[in-house]
Amino acid sequence: GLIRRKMNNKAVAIPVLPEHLIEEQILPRLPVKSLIRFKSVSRSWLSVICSHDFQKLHLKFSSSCQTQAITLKSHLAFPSCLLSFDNCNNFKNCVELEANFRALNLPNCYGPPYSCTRLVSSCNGLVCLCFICVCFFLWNPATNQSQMVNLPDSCYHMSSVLLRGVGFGYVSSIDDYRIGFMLGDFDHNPKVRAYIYSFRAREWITMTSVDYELCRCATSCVVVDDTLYLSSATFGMLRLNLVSGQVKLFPLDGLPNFKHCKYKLSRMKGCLSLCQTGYSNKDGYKYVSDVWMLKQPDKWDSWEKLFSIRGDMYLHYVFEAGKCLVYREEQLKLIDPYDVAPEQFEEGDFDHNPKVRAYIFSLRAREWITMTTVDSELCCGARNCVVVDDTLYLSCVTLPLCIPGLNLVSGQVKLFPLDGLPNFKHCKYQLSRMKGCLSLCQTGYSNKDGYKYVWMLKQPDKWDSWEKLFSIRGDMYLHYVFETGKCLVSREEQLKLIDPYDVAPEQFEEGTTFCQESRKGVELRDIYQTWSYVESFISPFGAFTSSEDEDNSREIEIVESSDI
Amino acid sequence: MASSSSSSLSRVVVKSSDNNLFVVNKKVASQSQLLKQCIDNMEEKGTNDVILIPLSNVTSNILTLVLEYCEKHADFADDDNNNQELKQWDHEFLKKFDYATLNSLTMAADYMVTKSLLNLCCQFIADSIKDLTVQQIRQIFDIKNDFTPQEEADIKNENAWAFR
Repeated sequence: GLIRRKMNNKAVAIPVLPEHLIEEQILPRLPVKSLIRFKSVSRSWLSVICSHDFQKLHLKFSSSCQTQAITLKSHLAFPSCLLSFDNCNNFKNCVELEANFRALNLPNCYGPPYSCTRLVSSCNGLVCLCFICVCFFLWNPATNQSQMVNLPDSCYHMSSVLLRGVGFGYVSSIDDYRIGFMLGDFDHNPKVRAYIYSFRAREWITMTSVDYELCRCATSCVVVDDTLYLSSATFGMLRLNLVSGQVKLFPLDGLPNFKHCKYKLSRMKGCLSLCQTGYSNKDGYKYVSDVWMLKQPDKWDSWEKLFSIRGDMYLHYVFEAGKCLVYREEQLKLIDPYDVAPEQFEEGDFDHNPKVRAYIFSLRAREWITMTTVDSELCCGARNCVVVDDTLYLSCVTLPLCIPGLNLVSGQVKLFPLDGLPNFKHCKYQLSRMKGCLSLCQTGYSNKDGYKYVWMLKQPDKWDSWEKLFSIRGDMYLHYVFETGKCLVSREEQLKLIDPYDVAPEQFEEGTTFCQESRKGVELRDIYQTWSYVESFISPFGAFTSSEDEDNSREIEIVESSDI
Repeated sequence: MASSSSSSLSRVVVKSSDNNLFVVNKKVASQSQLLKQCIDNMEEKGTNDVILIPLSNVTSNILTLVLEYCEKHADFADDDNNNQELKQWDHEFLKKFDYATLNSLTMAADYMVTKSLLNLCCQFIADSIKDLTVQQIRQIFDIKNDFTPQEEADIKNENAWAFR
C-alpha cells in the first residue's frame, strides 16, 4: 500500500486514481518545484519522488513534453532567461532566472555580476555556465542547486581571449557528465590545450595539446554523446573525444557551397547536426539556413539535408526534437519544420529585439539620425571598423567573404563581396584607412610561416580593384596601419614603426622595448586596439567655422541591442 | 487495415458496465487498443457475427465521453494539417469536466488503452495540481499524512524555497 486511502463508506466518494497512474503518469509530468513541495505529502510520495527510477522517468517526460530554451542575454549585465512556449509553439513567457533562483551565488568578478558569464550548454536540466577564466558553474535552476568547478591550476596564467570552444554534455557510455574546453597556452606558443572535467571523478582529467591554428576560428561547439565537436571556420571540424581526450580533425568538404557559409553545430535526435547559414547572391544577399544531419557518426559523407529556413527568418537554435527557435522582425517563434512548413510563419509575440540598429550622429546637426535596422548576423562578430569617406566598413568573422558597409549619409547597409582576394577564406582580416582608401590587412597562417598582406582598394565601389601593397613577415604582429602607410608592428617585446615603402620589413631593427621593467604591468599582447592620433583645433562641440561644404567630422556608433 | 477480406466488419457493439449498448464505427473503435485487439482477434477467426465487447470497468456516461474523443480523433487521423485545431479541441474537451469525471475518464482511457487520451488527461491533471498546496493534494488524492509533525517540519525546512 504505497498510497493509503482513507476507508470511506460514503458512496459518493470521488473515484481515486490508482497508484500506478499517479506515480507513472501524473507525477512525472509535474514541475520539479511542485514535486519538491509534494515530498511532504506522505512517506510513500517522498520515497517515490526521491527514487532514482522516478527521477529518470521524470527526465524522460520533461524532455519529450516541453520545449524550453535558456538564454544568456549578451555579455553585459543582463540576466539569463528561460523561454517557454505553449502547445501551439507560440512564445509564452520569459522568466529571468537569477531573480527566481537565487542559488547561483556567482562571484562578483570584473565589475557587474554575470558580465563575464557565458552559457556553455544545457543538458538534462543542468546548465553549464562558464566564468571566463575563473571557473565553471554547473547549475540546476529547477532544484536550485549549483556546483562550482575551478579551472585546472595550469590555466590561471593564461589570457582570457584564448578560450576556444567549450562544451558540456552527458556521456552515456560511461554515465558521466563532462566538460571539455580548449585554451590557448602562450607559454608554449602556438599550442592550445584541451581539458576535460569529469563530474564523476570530480577532477580535471585529460590534457591534450592541439595546434593553435586548428581552433583559432572556432565559432560553435556541441557535445554529442562522447564527443565535443568544434567548428573551425577555416579547417573543418575538430572532434575532442571526452573519454580518451584525443583530438581529430575532420574535413567538411562533403557539404555543398561550404566556403560561402558559416555553420553552427547542434544536437538533434541524438545526432550531430549542422546549420549552414549564408547569404545567397541571387536575391540581394538573402539569408538562408540549411540544417544538415550526420546520419552515422564516423561516416563523414553521411550528411543529409533535413530542411531549410529561408528569407527573413533567423534561426537561433535547433532543439533535440527538431523544432527550431526562429525570429523574424520583432518576433520570436518556435516552428516545427516537420509539422508546419516554415513559410507559414505565424505571428509570435516577443519584444526582445535581437536586431541590430545602426545609429548615426551628425556633429553638424547635433543629433542622432537613427536609421536602419540591420540583421544582427551582418555584424555579429565584428572585429574592427574603419570609416573611409562616407562609409563605415566592418570586418566580421562570421562573414568571411564580404564586408558590410554602413553609409553614413544615407544610413543604408550594404554587403561588399571580397571574392577578389586570393586565399581569402583561410584568413582573417583587419580594416584600416590608408591614403584615403580602404585598406585591408590579410592575416593568414600557412604551415611554414605566417604572412600578412596589406591590400588597398584603389577605387571605391570597384570591388575588384584590390591591389597588394606589401607584406609583413610572419613573426611580426601588425598593430595598425597608418594613413601614410607606416605600420606599427611588434616582435617579441619590442614595438616599432616601420615604413614598408622605405625599408623592407625584413630589415626590422631594434625598436622600443615595451614595458620591460614591469613585466607584470601591461604587456605587449594586451594592446588590442590602436588608432592614429593627430593634434588639431577641431571642436568637439560641433562649431563649424569653415566653409559649409566641408562636413567630414562625424561620429558614429553601432549599438547592439539585446542579443539573444 | 487489419483485414481487407469481405468479411471484415464495419461496426462493433460495445457494452458499458451498466449494460448500455453503443454501436461504434470500427475506425473509431480502433483508437482504443483494447477494442482494436478484440476486433483483430475476432477477424482472425473469420467471424461474420457482430462483435459485442463488454467493458466491465466503464460506465455509460464515461464511455460516451471516451467515444466522443475517439470519434474526433478518428476524423482527424488522415489529416495532418489540422493538428492545431485538434489540440484546441482536446483542450476544450477536458475543460468542461469536474474532477471526478476527469479521474474516471483517465482510468477508462488507461483500461481501454487509449494512449493519447490517457496522456491528455494526465497532463491536464498535472497542470491543474502543480500549484496546489500539500494539504490540497492530500485531499484530492485522498492521502493520509503519515509523517510525524517533526518529520514534516524537517522536510519542509529542507526545501523551504519550494514553498514560496
